[in-house]
Amino acid sequence: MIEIKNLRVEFETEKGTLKALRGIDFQVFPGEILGIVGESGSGKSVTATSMMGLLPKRVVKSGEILIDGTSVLSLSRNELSKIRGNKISMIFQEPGRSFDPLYSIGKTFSETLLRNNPALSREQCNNKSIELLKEVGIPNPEERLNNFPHQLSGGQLQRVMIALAVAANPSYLIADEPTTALDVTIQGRIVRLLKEMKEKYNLAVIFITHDLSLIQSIADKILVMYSGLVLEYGKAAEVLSNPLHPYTQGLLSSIPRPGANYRTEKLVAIPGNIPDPTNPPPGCPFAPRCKYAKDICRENVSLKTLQNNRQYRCIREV
Amino acid sequence: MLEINSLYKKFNLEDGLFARYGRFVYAVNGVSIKINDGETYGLVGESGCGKSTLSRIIAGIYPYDSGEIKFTSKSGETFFPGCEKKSDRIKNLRKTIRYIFQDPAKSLDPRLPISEILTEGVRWSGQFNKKEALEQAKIMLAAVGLSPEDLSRRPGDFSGGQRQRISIARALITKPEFLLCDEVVSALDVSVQSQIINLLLELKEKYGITILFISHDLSVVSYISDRVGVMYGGMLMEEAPADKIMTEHKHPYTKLLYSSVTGNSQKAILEKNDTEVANLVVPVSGCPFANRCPMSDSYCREKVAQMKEISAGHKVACHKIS
Repeated sequence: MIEIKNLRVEFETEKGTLKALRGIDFQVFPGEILGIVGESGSGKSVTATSMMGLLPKRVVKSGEILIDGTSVLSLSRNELSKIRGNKISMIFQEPGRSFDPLYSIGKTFSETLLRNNPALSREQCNNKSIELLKEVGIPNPEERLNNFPHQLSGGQLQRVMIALAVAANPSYLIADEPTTALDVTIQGRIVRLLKEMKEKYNLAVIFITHDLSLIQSIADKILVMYSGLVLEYGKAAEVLSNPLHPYTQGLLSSIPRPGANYRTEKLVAIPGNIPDPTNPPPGCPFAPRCKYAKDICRENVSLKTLQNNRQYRCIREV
Repeated sequence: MLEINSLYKKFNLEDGLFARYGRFVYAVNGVSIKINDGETYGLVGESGCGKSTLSRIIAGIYPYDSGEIKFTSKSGETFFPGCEKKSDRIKNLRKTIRYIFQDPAKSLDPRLPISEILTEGVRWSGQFNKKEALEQAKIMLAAVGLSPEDLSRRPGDFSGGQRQRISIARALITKPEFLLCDEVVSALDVSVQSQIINLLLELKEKYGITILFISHDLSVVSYISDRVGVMYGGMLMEEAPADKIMTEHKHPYTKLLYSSVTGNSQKAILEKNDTEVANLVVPVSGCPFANRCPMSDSYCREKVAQMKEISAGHKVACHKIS
């Protein structure tokens, strides 16, 4: 289980202190896909990088990240590199930019495999790589090992990246916008592959996206983030069919329903803009854009927990 | 009214001093579209299908190889975008057909104040003098939901959604009749996207503009458009009224696209998807989707399917559909 407790991350910038995460708490359990939804600047990618221990220690102001009980923030560089890959691994947004262009696919694989098991021979490495490539559905894996990243398409590279991520049997997989740079027809296949991988390895997947229509086809649970805070959390079906926070409601009503047309339906837009991360509004961050906002919203709004661990941060009762 | 008749465009694969010629990317392969006045025509397709190339040809950014584009303005004047030679006609055309770019962060000069960004085009079109242009800029800013005080600020002071509003104001200031919107909401956040969509719909109504709306987002395209065209491999695969395309699409490629969005993936199509998007470096012979299509046979690979009308306003280019 991954547990995140009261995590605060701040960056010093020219414009002042950028408050990327302002105290978030959540858990991820094995065998489930947690979808983190949020717009740019909501802190979803910072959450992912902090879980991998990729952030410099000085930016983490408070909080804890526990992966199966081990605190990531207290680990040294060497200890971190031991858990990366075989405990927790990550898939990045743009497959084309995440590979070393001078490494062949085979070399990329053997680097990863040898790191976790230096005793492997070249032949064992190759066999294992071919096996992994087959698993993610790459045609002619034997030939692909000699190819370089530019010879593969975006969708294929993303599948290679998934194969690399599961190469050392991790228990947790973070996918940060894995399909954003890909075409829709390929998107569907990557999502199916991630689901298959989850079933096969009993992975806990953290799937980060800004695309609400995509999240309904993959996530078991959903965490809605905004301005560095968790606004809503719960089972995917519940959050999508009965959103409790006005922000989630607004997000859902602002994307056109499949089949909707402007002549028959009006799109309800959320007015205003995302808050400035260096100076987030006090209280509920969504209050300046919320039609239900009262004075009390601008003071302090805490996260409420209902039954089934359903959470939302709003003064309104359900 | 804009009429495009069997338009072709190929690009040299290599460019520069040492480029070898003779190898091409076949970007647009015989597209015919007719867009009526006041209509919003949505164009969907994946990356590399030629949708942006098509819009840039209409805007006169790229020349085309063969075919014809004819634009008839409301006053009855006929233009041939890309073929006009006289400078006053080109100026006239450029103020009637305007282009809105995808990423407002990259398409606004960061060093110019908003007043200059808005009035620069007008200076060349000769519609207004300097003072009138500034007045117009204020009116346009108000129309897109910004305030006149913003005229002295620079693009860096605005958020993504506000910058896209500025791009829209810049396009509208010459009082165009035709707008080319190339992925105008793709770079924006979800909560801001709907604001811009609503703004476009409102302005279209207010000024009676015809819009070509290009996007890879199917729900957005079918929401905002009156008619939708689906492109693949530089060809038009299907064209239907917006409310029909989501429910009654016929072409196997459209089926694949829409099933990817709605989640109920059509297994038969997905399984035959080893090869990805069509390779456009070789000239297209036959249906470009044939190698991914579950229904295809050798005939599909040899002969290009022509657009056939199967019901009122609904056209499909597929040999297997009659």
